[in-house]
Amino acid sequence: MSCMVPSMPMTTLRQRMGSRAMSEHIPLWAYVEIIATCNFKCEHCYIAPCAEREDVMSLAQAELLFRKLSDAGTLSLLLTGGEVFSHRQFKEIYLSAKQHGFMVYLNSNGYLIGERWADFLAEWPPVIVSLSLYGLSDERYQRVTGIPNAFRRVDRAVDLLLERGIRVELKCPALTLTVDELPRMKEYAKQRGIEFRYDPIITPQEKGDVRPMQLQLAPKEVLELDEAMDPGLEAFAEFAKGFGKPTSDGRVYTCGGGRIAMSVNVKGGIGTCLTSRQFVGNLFEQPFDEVWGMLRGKVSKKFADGHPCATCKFRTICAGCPATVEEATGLPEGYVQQYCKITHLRAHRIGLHATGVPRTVTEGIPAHVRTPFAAAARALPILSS
Amino acid sequence: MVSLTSMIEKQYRRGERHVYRNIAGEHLLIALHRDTVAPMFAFTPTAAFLWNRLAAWSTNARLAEQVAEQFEVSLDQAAQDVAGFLEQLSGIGALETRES
Repeated sequence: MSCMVPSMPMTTLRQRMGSRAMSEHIPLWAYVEIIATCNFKCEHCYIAPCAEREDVMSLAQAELLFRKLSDAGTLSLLLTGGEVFSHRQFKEIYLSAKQHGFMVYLNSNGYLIGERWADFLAEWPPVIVSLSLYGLSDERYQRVTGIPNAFRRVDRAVDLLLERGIRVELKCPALTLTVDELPRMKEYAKQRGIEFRYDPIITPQEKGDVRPMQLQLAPKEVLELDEAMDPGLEAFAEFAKGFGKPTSDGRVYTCGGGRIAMSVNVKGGIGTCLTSRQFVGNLFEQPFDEVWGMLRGKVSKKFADGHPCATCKFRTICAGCPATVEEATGLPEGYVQQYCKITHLRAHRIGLHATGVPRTVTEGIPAHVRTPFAAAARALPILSS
Repeated sequence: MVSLTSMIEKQYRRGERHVYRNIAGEHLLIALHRDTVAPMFAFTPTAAFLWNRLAAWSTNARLAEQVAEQFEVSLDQAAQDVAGFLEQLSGIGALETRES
């Protein structure tokens, strides 16, 4: 017998917990939106443009939420917004999350992180601060975020956090407004020894305004960007190799959303992830098991016969997901040809597909499959170019 | 190495710089602050048992007795294991001590 603290690698421990959480339906991950408003006015944002001043989670609501999540078995908790550092009670909410024993992750645009916040985070470190980066100059930042002199502040925030040993990652949406600077942004991150990632999928605003989608890159532009960022798509090929074949049971959701992960918005609405804005219940008002059960029902959906995604062997490496499809079409089991084209081009580039052209281009999309709203379809570059 | 005699004379209590969680069958100790070896540690069930006992001040001898009662192990073996565990907890800043 030993009382020792075992020196088990954390990856092994997390894998073991993940497997058990998946089989026992434990919400290991929670993404909590504590504020919907933001100090930036980004062109592509899907949350803040729809937010009202009062769309802020109170400390009491956050604590109620944390108690429920802690009892349910949540370990990793992402605090996000909006901009979390613009929340008047951010410090109290953050400390409450820490004291509930969560592994806390933070999303931020970095603009408000000065020495005081950096010192605070150094004393009470999160697992990681994930900062959005929108360019490498104040001019670029103004174009994307509408805020002057912003890059110099974000750049300083990166330095302040790194100087204090706080783990940082950088991420950027791949937009028509940012695409030309993405390779240099990757280099910026590399010089600082931190990870950088980008995402080419843009969804409509929460209340349906499709203007953000007009900033999305066309599929061929996405592939050109991929090449510039990852020559030969070697990292993508490795990533693709890491996934097995998609499930053959026709399930729409193959991710952890609703199975080991969930999101909570400022009003207590429960969803599969941050991208999905269709909420199934309210955790401020209902017992945890009730809303978690409702979410489980949502993610047990199956594709209708003949749906192009049902038998697709690239589902696990698809550029889209049920949440992005849901935002563009209204249904997670809808279909967005834009995502399909990006995915097939990528698969073709790494030798997994002969032509890079999805079947729906040559054979058409079955009539019973929901496609993007007319406005969204017009906004997407695939149809307008 | 701390001798058994000196351990018995000391009292121990868990500190407030970590939070214990039992999730998906794992006993976890989460660090609140940065000045620790790692942000998260895993406990054996025995370690989790001891962590619970350390909510109040206790001695190595008392803890060893409780382990021996609970886990059907000899008192000598329990005392050794408890000493090792307390040393580890001390090493990560998760233990408070005082002289009895």
